[in-house]
Parts: sequence; structure tokens; C-alpha cells
Amino acid sequence: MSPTRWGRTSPARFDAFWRRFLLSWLAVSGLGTLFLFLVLYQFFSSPLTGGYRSVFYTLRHLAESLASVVALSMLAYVLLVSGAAGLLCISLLYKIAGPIYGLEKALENCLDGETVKPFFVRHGDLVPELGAAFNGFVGRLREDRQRWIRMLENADRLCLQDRETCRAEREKALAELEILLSRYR
Amino acid sequence: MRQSPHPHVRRRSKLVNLRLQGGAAIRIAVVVFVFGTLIAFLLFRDIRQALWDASYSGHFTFPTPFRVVEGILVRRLVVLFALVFAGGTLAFFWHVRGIRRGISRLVEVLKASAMGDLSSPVGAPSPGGIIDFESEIDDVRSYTFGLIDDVREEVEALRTSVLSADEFARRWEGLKEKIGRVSP
Repeated sequence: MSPTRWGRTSPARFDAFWRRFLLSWLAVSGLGTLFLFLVLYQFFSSPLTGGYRSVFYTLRHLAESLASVVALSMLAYVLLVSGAAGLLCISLLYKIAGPIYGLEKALENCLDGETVKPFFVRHGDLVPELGAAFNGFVGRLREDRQRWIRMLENADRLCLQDRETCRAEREKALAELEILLSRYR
Repeated sequence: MRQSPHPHVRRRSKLVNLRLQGGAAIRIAVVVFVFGTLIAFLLFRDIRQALWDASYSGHFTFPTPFRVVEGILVRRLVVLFALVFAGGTLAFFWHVRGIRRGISRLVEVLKASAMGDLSSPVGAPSPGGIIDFESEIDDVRSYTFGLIDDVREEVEALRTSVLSADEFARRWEGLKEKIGRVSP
């Protein structure tokens, strides 16, 4: 398997990711602000009736209760916008978190000595280079292992002749194998 | 028809990594909270002042108090919207940048491993520890290096030791078995 089968994340895919975030975030923060405006608009929309005395007391009462209204409406705003931001982050970042989770599982399999399958990224995932790098590493290791085994088997085939040739071929194979193994440090 | 290299498989849950996905949400929530608190304070201070001033003016002819606070409210909310939008975008961008950096580093490590470097340490964790499976990658590299080292030692032993033909043949088979264990 080619280590660069999928290459890097295409700029178009990342552009789409950012576009989706910016549009959604614009909508979330805009709707949150609109919500805050409507709450405060409602609060300040009580009609002013009567004479100066009545208006004076109404305005003073509004000023007195303002702190709790602003605090509560802002708290609702923070919760609303933060909750929406949380959902947005979970939904958008799973395209990165998903492949990472898959790779962690593949690494665990590797350590458990189980068969390591090629790591595939799903449609729309954003980090194909990570999968490609892991597949490249495992693929290269497998290629080397097959080459080493082939080398030993070639030497084995010559063992059908006499014992001396067999030993000499095996020693030659061991010398070549030692050179190949020196690549790993 | 050309087959896509990306199998279209739906994940059951979208929350698979709390630190990676929740971290961005927490950063944005902090931004919203900080700017929200700041604007709430300014709103409270300015609107209260405006209401007091209006109550003292005596000739108040508007039908609702909204006309008194309208300008302040709109201005402050526009500022809040701009700050939250810009701050949230920056926080998200910063988070994604950290993730991309961590991934780039791991890609480099895996590429170096494919070239045979299994012993150089992965290095410091990514900024903010968003990508935190360096230890797993290091474990896999050490495990692989251990297997290769076993093969190397066996090769060396076969080459340098004086062994009888039977013993040599027995260890030769053992060597094949050890090679078979590399990358299952």
C-alpha cells in the first residue's frame, strides 16, 4: 500500500470545514444576540402612563431591578450560545476526532499482536495524512518482513543440494539480512 | 464506476474524544462568558445611568422606556456580537491549529518510523495536549523495535556461534518464526 495513497487534506475540504464553522458560528452568535435583545426589549417595553410622579417611579423601579434582569438574561445568553457552540464543535471536530480514535484502536491492536488492518479514513474526514502515514509505516514493515522471509526461503531452496552449499547459502543470507536489519535503529 | 477510497460508514456517536471536541467548546464558552460579563456590566452601568437621567428630566414623553435605552442597548449588543463572533472564531482556530500541529508531528514520526527510525522519541506533547496518543505510538515503535532487535540478535548469534548442523537448522527455523512476528 502506498504511504501517500490519500496525501494531505485537500484545501477544498478544509475550506468547506471553515466555511461551515463560520456560517454556523455567525448564526449561533447572531441568534444569541437577538435573543438577548428580545428579552431586554420585552423588559423595557412596559408602557409609561400617568404623570411625572408615576413615570419617575417606573423608571426608578426599572433601574433598581435592572441588575438582576441583565444578569439573568446574560446568563441565559451564555448558556444558550455555549451549548450551541458545544454542539457545533462536537459535530465539526468529529471529522478529526474520528480518525484519531480509529488510529488509537489500530495502535492497540498492534500492541496486542493482532492482525493490523489498513487504516481507512471515512468520507469527509479531515486527517487522511495520519492514516496514510500509519499505513505507510505498517506497509513498509510488512514489505521488509516479506523480503527477509523470501531471503531465508531462497537459501532453504538451495539446501536441496549438499550440506556445505546449504550452510554457505544460509550464512550468505544471514549476512545480507544483517545489512537489511541495520536500517532499523 | 470509480470507487471512493473513503468508505462511507456512519459513526454511532459523534462525541469520540472529549478533550479534542470538548476542549474547543470550553474555549469558546470561556470567550462567551468573559465578553458576556463585560458587556453585561457596561449595559447595566449605562442603562441605569440613562434611566436615572430620564427620571430627573421631568418631561418624559416617550410611550415606553425602551426609547431611552435603545441606542445604548443596540450599540452594546452589536459590540457583544462582534466580540463573541471574533473571539469564538479565534478560539476555535487556535484549537484546530493545535490539533493540526500535533497531527503533523505524529505524521513526521510515523514517516521516520517507516524509514527505520524507531528509537527517536516522539517529543513533547502537542500544545495544550490535544493530541495525546504519543505514548501509544512510542509503545508501538518500541514494541516493533524489540521484535526487530530479537531478529537481529538471533542473526548475529547464528553468524558468530559455532553450532552443530542440527542446532543451526533448529535456530534457523526459530529465526523465521521471529521474523513472522514482526508486523502481524
